[in-house]
Amino acid sequence: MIRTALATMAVWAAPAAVAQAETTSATIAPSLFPNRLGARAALTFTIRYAGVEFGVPSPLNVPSPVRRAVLHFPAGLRLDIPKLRSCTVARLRAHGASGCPARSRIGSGHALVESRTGSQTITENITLQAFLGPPQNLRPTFAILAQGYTPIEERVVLKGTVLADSAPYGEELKMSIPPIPTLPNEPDASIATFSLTVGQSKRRRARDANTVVVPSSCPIGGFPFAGEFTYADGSAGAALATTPCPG
Amino acid sequence: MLCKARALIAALLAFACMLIAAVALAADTETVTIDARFSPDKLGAPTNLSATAKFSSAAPGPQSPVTKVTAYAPAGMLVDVRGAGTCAATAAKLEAVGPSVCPADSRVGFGKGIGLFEIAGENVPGPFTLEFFLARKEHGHIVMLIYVSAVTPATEQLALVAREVRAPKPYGFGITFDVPIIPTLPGAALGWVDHVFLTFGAKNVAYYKTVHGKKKLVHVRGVVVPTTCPRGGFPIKAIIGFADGAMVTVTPTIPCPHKQ
Amino acid sequence: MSPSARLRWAKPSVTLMATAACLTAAMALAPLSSGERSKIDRRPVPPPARVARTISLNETGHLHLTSKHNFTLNERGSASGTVTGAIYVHLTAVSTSRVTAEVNIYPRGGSLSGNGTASYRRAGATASFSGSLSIGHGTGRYGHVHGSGLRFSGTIQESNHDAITVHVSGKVSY
Repeated sequence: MIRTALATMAVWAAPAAVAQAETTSATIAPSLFPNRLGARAALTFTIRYAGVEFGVPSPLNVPSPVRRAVLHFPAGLRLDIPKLRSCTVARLRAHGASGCPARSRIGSGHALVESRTGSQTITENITLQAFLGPPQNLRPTFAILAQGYTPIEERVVLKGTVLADSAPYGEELKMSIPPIPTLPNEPDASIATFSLTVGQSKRRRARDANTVVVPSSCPIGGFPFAGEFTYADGSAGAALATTPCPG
Repeated sequence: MLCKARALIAALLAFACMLIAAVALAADTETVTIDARFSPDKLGAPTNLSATAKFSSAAPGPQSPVTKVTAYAPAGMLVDVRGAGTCAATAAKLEAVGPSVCPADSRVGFGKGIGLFEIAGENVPGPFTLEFFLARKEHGHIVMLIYVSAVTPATEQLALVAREVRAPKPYGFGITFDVPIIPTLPGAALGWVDHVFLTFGAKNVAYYKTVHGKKKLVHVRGVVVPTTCPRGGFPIKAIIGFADGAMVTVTPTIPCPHKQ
Repeated sequence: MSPSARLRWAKPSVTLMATAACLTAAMALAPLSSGERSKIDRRPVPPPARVARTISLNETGHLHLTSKHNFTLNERGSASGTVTGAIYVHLTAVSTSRVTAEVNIYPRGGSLSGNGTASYRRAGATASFSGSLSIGHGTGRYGHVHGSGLRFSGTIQESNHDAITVHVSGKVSY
């Protein structure tokens, strides 16, 4: 257990040692509902990005656009999709959510993007819809449609692949985030918050709905989650979080 | 006494000659280069119009500040602001309160640039930003409020009023606005613009409006590329006036779209 | 009547009855010409009786990925065990916890084909499945093959380009 903790700390410390000076900080906040061992549940994963000035998050600074995110999930947490259907990234880009089979939808959420234009920080609310993408050799992939309407109507698709992870995590989700254009010759928009819920909680769930299954055992200290982020300006950062073991 | 009067007249004449020479020199030495483009550049489609202007002078020392700008877009370029909001504030209120006094859907353009100030023999850069807001029309013509903000080396905010003007072919829609002389630091020469970037419109601007009692997403066409492109490109014209009386006219062109 | 007289009478009766029986049997077994076919019996002549065989199939197959489409892995390899030959498997994930499979084995003299379903789970870089298989189609010497409830299991090795190993065991008749 101690060896694992030290190894984990070494893993987190090493990237920080080689990364550029931090210009953006990230925090993650996962939650499971219901939080019950072995239950079919919904997982909500929220990430908040903030620009950093003098080592401290500064609300006046727009965070650098995130380009890559690797999210680590606790061992035993898995997706339960009773009927596999997929939707390609190309189809999502061309037709939006209506172009995908309903069964391929696995979650939804929202995001807030910011861009510094003129003397102002312009914000835009984004709706998120997550779909199961074509598998990579039976491993699930995700395609997340991010749709904004005003002031700029724009649609981008984030791609993710699930891979095996090492203890104390079970699987990791590697996501690539494309540039979010604003105006020509203006900086790309940055994600300020990103919140996605995968699966459905019992209240709203149909019998064969896509859900997340809570691990059947909980390690001491709670279910561990982590995130590693790479930004457009070349800097990188990481964040850790745990959800409490079911009471 | 006569000698003193003659000396005074000679000095005044010399000063006048120097002044005239300075004006002439300025008229010959100030240059402005403008590069403009449509993005996307599809004929007849909503677009973003952006322009970069670079100011320079062959004469040494501080340059004369800009006092007036008149710019004309090519004939056939439409400015369709239906669906955009209107800023009801006066220029004075915008200057005092800032952009928050104008609704977000009245914002039609942005800009940024670098001004220069000569302080102790050194040219110190002073970045500034620009925001263009649609104001109430005057006699059916478009009026814009321009919010200019600088924070260093001196904090300065001001609001300008730009009005629609029209020019004969090959030009069409244009805007004109005056720029007040802004004192900088005590004892320092007036600042001048080194370069400025402006951007208007976008292909996918949209705002929610209540139409017949229902919330509806309304797209603002904004700037629309002309449906035809003359040989040589879309002609634009800018006339820049300077504090020293000089006036520079620039007539660049926007390249025609590539045939696909 | 004396006992010897009774015996003398029995002997001719037994002989007569035996002769009648032989004649009857000979008539029944002798092939009839088409012109002399009995008017009553029009049934076709049945083929010679075949002896069904039941074997305990115990196969292990090592396969490599040849192609994939959406949620289906197409694999090919060699089977060893009770029968030896090429083996093809089409493995389809129908949910995150279940796979179906079409298995075709080509030993000498024919082929065996079957369909199965299995529960599926991933553990690290290896996924495993376990369920049951039914064999219902064959060719050649396995033309009448059938078997159900055969054990069907295996693993998928991500680190080896999704190569799979399958095990099939159970009784089949052919």
